[in-house]
Amino acid sequence: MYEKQIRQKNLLIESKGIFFSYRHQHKSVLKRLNFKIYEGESIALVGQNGAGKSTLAKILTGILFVQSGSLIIDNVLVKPDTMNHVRDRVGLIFQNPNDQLFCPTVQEELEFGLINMHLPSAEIQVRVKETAYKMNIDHLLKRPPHHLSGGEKKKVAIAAILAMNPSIMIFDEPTANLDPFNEKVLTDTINSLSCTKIIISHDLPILFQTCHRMFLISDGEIIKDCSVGEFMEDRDLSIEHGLDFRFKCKCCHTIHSQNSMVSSHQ
Amino acid sequence: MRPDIDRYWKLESSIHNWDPRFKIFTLVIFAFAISSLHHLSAIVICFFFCLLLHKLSKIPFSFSLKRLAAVTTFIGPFFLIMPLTVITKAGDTIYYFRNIPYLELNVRGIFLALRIYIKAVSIVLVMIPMFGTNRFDISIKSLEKLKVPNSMVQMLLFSYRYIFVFLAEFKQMLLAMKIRKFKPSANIHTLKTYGNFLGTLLVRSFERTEEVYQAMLSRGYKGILKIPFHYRARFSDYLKSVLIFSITFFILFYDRILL
Amino acid sequence: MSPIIHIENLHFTYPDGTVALRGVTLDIEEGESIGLVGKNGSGKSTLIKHLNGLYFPEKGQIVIDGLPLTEENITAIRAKLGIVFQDPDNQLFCPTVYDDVAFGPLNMDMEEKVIAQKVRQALKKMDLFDLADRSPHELSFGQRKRAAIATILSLHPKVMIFDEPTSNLDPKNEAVIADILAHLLCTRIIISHDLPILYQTCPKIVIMKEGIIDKILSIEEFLSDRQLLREHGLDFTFKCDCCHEHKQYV
Repeated sequence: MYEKQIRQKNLLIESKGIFFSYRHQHKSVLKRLNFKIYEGESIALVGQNGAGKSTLAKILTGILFVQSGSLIIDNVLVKPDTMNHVRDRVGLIFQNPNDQLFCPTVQEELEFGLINMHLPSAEIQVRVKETAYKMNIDHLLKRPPHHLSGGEKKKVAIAAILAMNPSIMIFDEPTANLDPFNEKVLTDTINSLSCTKIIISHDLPILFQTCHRMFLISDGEIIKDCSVGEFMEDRDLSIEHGLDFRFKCKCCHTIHSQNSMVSSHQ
Repeated sequence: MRPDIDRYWKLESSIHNWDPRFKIFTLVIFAFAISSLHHLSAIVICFFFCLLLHKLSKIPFSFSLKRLAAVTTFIGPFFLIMPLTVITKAGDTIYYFRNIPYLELNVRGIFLALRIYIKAVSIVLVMIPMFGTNRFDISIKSLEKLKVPNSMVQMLLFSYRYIFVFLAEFKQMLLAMKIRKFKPSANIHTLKTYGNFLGTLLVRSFERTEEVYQAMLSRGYKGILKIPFHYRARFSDYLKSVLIFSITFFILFYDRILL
Repeated sequence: MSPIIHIENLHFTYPDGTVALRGVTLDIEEGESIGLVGKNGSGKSTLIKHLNGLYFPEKGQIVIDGLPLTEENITAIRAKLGIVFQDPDNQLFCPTVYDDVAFGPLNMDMEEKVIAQKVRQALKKMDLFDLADRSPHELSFGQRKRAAIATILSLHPKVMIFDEPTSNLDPKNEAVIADILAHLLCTRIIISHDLPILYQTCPKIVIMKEGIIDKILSIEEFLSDRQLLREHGLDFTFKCDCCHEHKQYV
């Protein structure tokens, strides 16, 4: 059912046998990576540290370029001279918002990307306003980003990318360091975005809430392409790739069986 | 990513197993001696001796070439400038150009530049075995034993530790700017962006300093860094130092008295 | 027996005028393991920084293992009570892991032999013995977290405080740290918003709110009160959906 729905949509990203290795390392980071992502999909990218997830994110944002194979985003082949086009389409949200926010106020933070896109200032103001409203950060516009709480910083970081109106947003560990309340807020925010999403995370419950499809990367290859639920059925596989969260689930269940949370939850 | 300077500390050589305190003390004095030499012949002898030291340390010459290249680009222009600008003294050989009467080329200037250049190369060739044959932190710690003030040693050690953290943050932020399509050009926006960027880096390192300081205090830090250092001088360490000191002495004797 | 940590009517205001603590009173018995929870700005961090004298009380008093918190006692108190901060990069400031683990004992003026032994023990316990000569920036994040714990363990403190011990970790390393926390023998205070970790490690929960202790209750009571969880930003039940659908995990 789901497959069919997606197939009718436009092909947005197509990767054919992409290969990448860092100059000073002997080991290749990505090898023969093949995948297709359609418009509107949300993809979970999982795998152990060093499996090649971050490298792939950098390639998708036109920071690094593949050494062989081809990557096509929105009908354009990604290479150094199409970098501008790629960065128009793809936004990356860092794990640590402190790495991303450097303007004196939230307002300027949202304007930054738009100024770089050479938009007229009237349009910049409109877009900033719209984005701030959508992300529910209007009240923070005058504040300096580094005085905000972790959850607020995350929202500002997303808004700064969202204002540029990308067709693909990549999130690196979006819920790292947040408390459950902000995790929930962020999950809802991500779900409300209509663009294509790629989410790199170790947090299976969050991925389950936000993604339809999952790529499991190991040693620079996609070794499983399935739904998040399907992946979670395969317990041995999740343990093997360091994503074993049984003990957390055990806690959930114990908590549920201890009290009436199950009933209040449903 | 280790600091480049001590990339070859794991090799084994007679320079490697020289106690770092003795090594640094002796070679620093040797380097000063080189810089004080007057005569080209003495300098050339020192140069060959430095080459020998470098060879003994087993650090690949290709590694040092990069540093020598840096010295060359810095001192290279001297070969052009000094012959033209040196003050003429009695007995100097001077070439004039027929059609440019105000330009005079003093040969002594070339030799002066040559002396400076060979001295610089020699000193670099000493520095590489001096700091490249130990882990850099151990070299810094031995500075403490050589009575360098504790606060200075602390500063060096912290820079050694945090330069990488700082660089990583720096790179991440540049990346974040690139992703949001920032391209430096000659306008106010670029200037403002760099200003904000540097300001944020400063604020972040200030905050980190604060937190590191608290972490230090909470483990009993009282202002003085106590440094665990386990090296015991052996007879061979003294021997090596005495050897280098005598060479230093003879070179100076040759340079100042004999010539 | 008198409590190992005794806090009475503690007040504290930051120089910029922010009131952080407004009358905290709390006793913690030796060997207890306490989960300290509360929203951002409720005063958790300010409270723990008081416990080993990074801040001094403006009003009220603190007694740690029989020693009142004063300038003279500060070194003794810091040897008894160690804090593992959230960002391991701030805790590991020495050029090598060994130096970092030795830093505390060196400052306590212990004998060299004793120090070496304590460092070795702490490193072995955290499974870092082979990495002792490495520089912290060469370690993985999980290894750095363990190294940060080792720097406190080498002091053999009676009380260990952990600030968000599992933040930014992947599930594998999370489980490792949870296991370490659960098996420490000393008195522990764990600040966390990760309820499964608290469930594994802390039978007792202390809730802070606006600079005072709001409630003290057992972890079971806390987890079964969804209203309370929500009030403190800790309602994580939305994450349990996946568990319901995947019962085979248990």
